[in-house]
Amino acid sequence: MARTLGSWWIKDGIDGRRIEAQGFASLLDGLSGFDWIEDHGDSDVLEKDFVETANWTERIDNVDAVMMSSHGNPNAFSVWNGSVSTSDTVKFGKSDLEIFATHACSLLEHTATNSVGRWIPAFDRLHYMFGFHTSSYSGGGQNARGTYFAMYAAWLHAVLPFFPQYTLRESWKKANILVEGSDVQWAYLRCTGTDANGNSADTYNEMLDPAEPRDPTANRSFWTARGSC
Amino acid sequence: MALTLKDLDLKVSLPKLPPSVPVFELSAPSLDERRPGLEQLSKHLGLGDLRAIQLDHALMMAGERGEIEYFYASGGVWARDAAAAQESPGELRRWDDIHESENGKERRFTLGPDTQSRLISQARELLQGTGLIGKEVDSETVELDQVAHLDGKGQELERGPGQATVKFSYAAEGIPVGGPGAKTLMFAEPENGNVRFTGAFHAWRTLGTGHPVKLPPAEKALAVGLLIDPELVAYRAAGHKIRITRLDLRYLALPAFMRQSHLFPAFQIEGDVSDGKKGSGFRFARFHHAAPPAAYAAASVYGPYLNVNPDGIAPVSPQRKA
Repeated sequence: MARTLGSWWIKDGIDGRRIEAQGFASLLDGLSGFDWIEDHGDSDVLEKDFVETANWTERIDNVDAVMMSSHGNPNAFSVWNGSVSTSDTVKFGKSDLEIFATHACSLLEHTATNSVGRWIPAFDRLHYMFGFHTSSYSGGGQNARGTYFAMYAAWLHAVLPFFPQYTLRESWKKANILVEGSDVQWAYLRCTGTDANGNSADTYNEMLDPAEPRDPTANRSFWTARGSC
Repeated sequence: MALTLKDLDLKVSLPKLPPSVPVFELSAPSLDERRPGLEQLSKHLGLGDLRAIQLDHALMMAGERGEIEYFYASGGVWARDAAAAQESPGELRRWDDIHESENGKERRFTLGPDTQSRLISQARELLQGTGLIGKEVDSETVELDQVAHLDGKGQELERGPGQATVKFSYAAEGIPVGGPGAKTLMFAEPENGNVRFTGAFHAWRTLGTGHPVKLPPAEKALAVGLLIDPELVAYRAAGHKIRITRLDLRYLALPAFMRQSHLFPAFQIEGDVSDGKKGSGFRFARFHHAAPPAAYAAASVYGPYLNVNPDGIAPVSPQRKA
């Protein structure tokens, strides 16, 4: 069964946001083993797709990996009809989602007074949340972020089997080094542990492959890392 | 309708702009020019036999131990020892001479000054030997990835440093060059009390002739891009407050995979938008042009990104006067 992909974007006058999110999903969609099945822009980016809502299937959980382009702050990211914040009930991965990547500014800021652990309740069976410790830019050639993330995470290895595949964390870092100035800091929060049977579900070297990875659902702990682009 | 300065809550001073700045022609070092350095870098990283494949954006030379990527558009280079980053069981690294500091908000691990100096000179020596460093280097630093391990409730179990990056930044005519295309990085791992370089990224185009282009005063220069930013205009029209926390004059260097004909002046801007009718507040960061299209035309300087924002943010208005 193929890994499924989604793109969510709010342009607000900047079409690069659409290009950024769709670039991730569209590049992978050309590979066997990946299907781009959700694409939602502007007024179709709904809070209830991310926040637990009665009698509604959150569309974010129809897919394995998401690239989302909207605004953010350390405690929330924007949707068309509001925001999704750390005080909302979010269960990423409840059904399928493993990778949530966003350019939302400062979403993963980790400071002495505001730990990125505030996003842990959003991890149901989610493996990685990718974002930024600082603001991320528009207007300086950032449109291709999603495309390059997908390229190093999976595409290059798929089309050139001898190309050593990047781990997810290394591909996020590289894509952002390519598109951001060096005063921006990439960041991620990852969950690791075992599955319910005690089998290792270590996500440190996880790659984006057509096969479903094991989910860390027991003995969980979380790692955050950030560095300069 | 365009914003005015009164629409912005400026938390920083308006930068004083020089009456004119040189806008430099740029060129990309060719593959032939780069090849000796790439071979040397490949040897240093122990990449072994590499197969070359032409992709749309780059020539990829890859083998089982890693790759070297040559970006056609800029002459930029990425090199990686693929095994190195996966050798460690996790993000933390054991560096000697580690210091932790806290400034009230941020906690940071850094290497001691002597270790930093040693890393910088080792990186510089390697980069100069391969020709992968520009002569316009303006600053050099070492930064460590910052790592923390949290339990399921978010309590910090441990924290520490990760991989190191030796970072070279650039300036031209005394103006720092911002953006993704102005940096040289060496990635490093600790190894038996010493250091092992495991990769590099060099993005810096060759500067050619500088053409003087007139800059208007800051108030007018902001009207070229920031004050007509369609998103900020819409949020202000809906009553949101816009706070500017960073406003610097820079040259803007575009990503290594984009063709850039000229190094041009731009504002590097950060700020935030308050909660309001259009939704929740957010932070933002932008590059916007500082010189109007008419100023480039007056200097007979033409190039694909001189009249428009590279991401197409601000509308094209070639009739606007300097």
